[in-house]
Amino acid sequence: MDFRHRGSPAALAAPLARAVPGPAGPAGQDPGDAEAAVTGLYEAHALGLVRLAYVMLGDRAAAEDVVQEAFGGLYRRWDQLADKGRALQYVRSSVLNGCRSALRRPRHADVDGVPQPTAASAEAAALTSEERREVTRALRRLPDRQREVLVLRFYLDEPEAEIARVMGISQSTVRSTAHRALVKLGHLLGETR
Amino acid sequence: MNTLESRLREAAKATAEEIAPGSIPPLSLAKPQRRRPGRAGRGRGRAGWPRILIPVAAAASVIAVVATTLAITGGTYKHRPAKAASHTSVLASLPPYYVVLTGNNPNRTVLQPQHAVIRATSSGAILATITPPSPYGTFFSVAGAGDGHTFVLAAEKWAVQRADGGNSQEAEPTKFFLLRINPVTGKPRLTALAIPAEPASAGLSGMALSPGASRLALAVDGDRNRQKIQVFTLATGSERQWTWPGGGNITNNAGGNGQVLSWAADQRTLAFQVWQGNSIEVRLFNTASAAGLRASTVAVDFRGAAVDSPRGDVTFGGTSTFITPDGTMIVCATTSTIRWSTTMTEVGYTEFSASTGRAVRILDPRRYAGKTLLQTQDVLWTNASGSTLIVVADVPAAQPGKYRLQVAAVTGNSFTPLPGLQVDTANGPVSYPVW
Repeated sequence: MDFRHRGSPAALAAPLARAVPGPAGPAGQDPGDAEAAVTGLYEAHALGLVRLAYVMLGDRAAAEDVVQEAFGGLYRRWDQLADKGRALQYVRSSVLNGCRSALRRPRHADVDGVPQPTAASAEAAALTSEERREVTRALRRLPDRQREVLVLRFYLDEPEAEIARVMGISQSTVRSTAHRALVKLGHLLGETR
Repeated sequence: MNTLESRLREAAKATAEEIAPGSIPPLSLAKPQRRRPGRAGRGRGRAGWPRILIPVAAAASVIAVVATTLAITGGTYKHRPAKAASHTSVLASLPPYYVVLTGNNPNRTVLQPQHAVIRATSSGAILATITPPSPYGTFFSVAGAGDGHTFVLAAEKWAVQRADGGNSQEAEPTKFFLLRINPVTGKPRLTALAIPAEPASAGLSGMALSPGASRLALAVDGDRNRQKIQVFTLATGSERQWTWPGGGNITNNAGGNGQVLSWAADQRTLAFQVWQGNSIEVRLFNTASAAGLRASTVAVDFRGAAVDSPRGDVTFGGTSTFITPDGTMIVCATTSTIRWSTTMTEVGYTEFSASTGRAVRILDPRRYAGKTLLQTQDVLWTNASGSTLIVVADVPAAQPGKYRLQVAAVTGNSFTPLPGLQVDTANGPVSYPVW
């Protein structure tokens, strides 16, 4: 499988309906069709989703697990999915839910929120700096909801309405949460806003 | 946008890009009853891809993991075969051809002239047999660019010296040939490379062709038995060389088999093994820099690994080390102790971060009862990110308690045998196949 060039946040946040490959048959279809469709979706979007989960969690293995679980759930519920064209939307929500669940579990590694060392691409390695670590560390010290809002807003570039829909909160709550999150982030980073 | 938001956006993007393209494991659509919701983020991790080197915290989890492992493997050596549906797609993702050196007598591994056999990866079918052009009598080493189309063969004249009632091969200068297989017609073409022949005393211990086939690296003996690395630009024949200033040797002590040197796709970064006493290092060197080999850095440090000691967590368990073409990983066969068990050992193909030296993941992990392993395992090829490997490993033979060599593709936990290379250990290939 080749996931190259498919991991950009923009690709992940692109209109979702056109993302499902292959035939989206009726309920009770051949399980092979479901497997092919879900696998195709995974091939197209796993990189972006793992990256999203990794930004949220700071733990690559956990991020991969969350994405695997999300696609496993999609596969198990494929027959019940009325609109196969919204499959990516479904799986992305599952990934975000999985991240919330993972964040709620007790953490016995990376206690201070420092990301686990991981294999970095050459470009990413070049960007790895104390500056970036500092911001990432501060981001991971935010409350879960604040962190999620900032990731959706500044990593995925999602509009407030979409963030509100994904998180199940009002747009005004998105705005206020983002404001508080940025104030706190600035405080953690020693900035005055 | 203000500075804080810019910093946040750039940090999130850079963090995300730590997940390299091509490094995502394949989807495992496990049966619902085998998954355990709520355990996704910690401990063993995704089914079949255990996170190594991370202690399991809770005793209950330990017991559960042990029980699961034994249930899966039965406490014995076992590869996980690839699903039939994925078999074809795995084979299709591999480079199309490989080269293996062999002699007329497959049971003899020394003192016979060797020719090159080109085989199709997906079927094992022989595409062509290449004999060394006159006056050269034998090929004795081959390196591949990893694309399945481009190889370099080292040839020398064949001279057997008879003395004192025995035979030995007399050293001769080494000449290098480029073998290209036309991607459309499949027709091979052998041409002499415009680089100087190595003198008879050179003692070639490693050879690697860069992805894209623009550069050839050699590890040879230099003056006063000081080893050196030579890099030739094939288009121009130009050469750079560096003498190894440290202790130990640039070698894998495998008599010519396996990968001592390997290139990243940037055509600059060269990985090489250094064996000294009981330690093995995999070092990285920027061949475009003005610095000498002293400036090379240790990417992976196996202390005490030369004897496969179970004292360390992960020990080198093969002869080859590869840097993945994307430059992010060092890949090799390993033997590992298991922290929660004093009686089991895990073997597999471990990928170490090239930047931190830490083990990132293990492919095709298999667990044995006991700490002493005699099985063969090695890495023969890696794709750009290390997500798919070609390996050679012992697998159980038809006769109970016996093993045979099997070349296979490994993706995650799946082990897909390559057809046409199933050989008995006793009659193994003269040399490893090369892609």
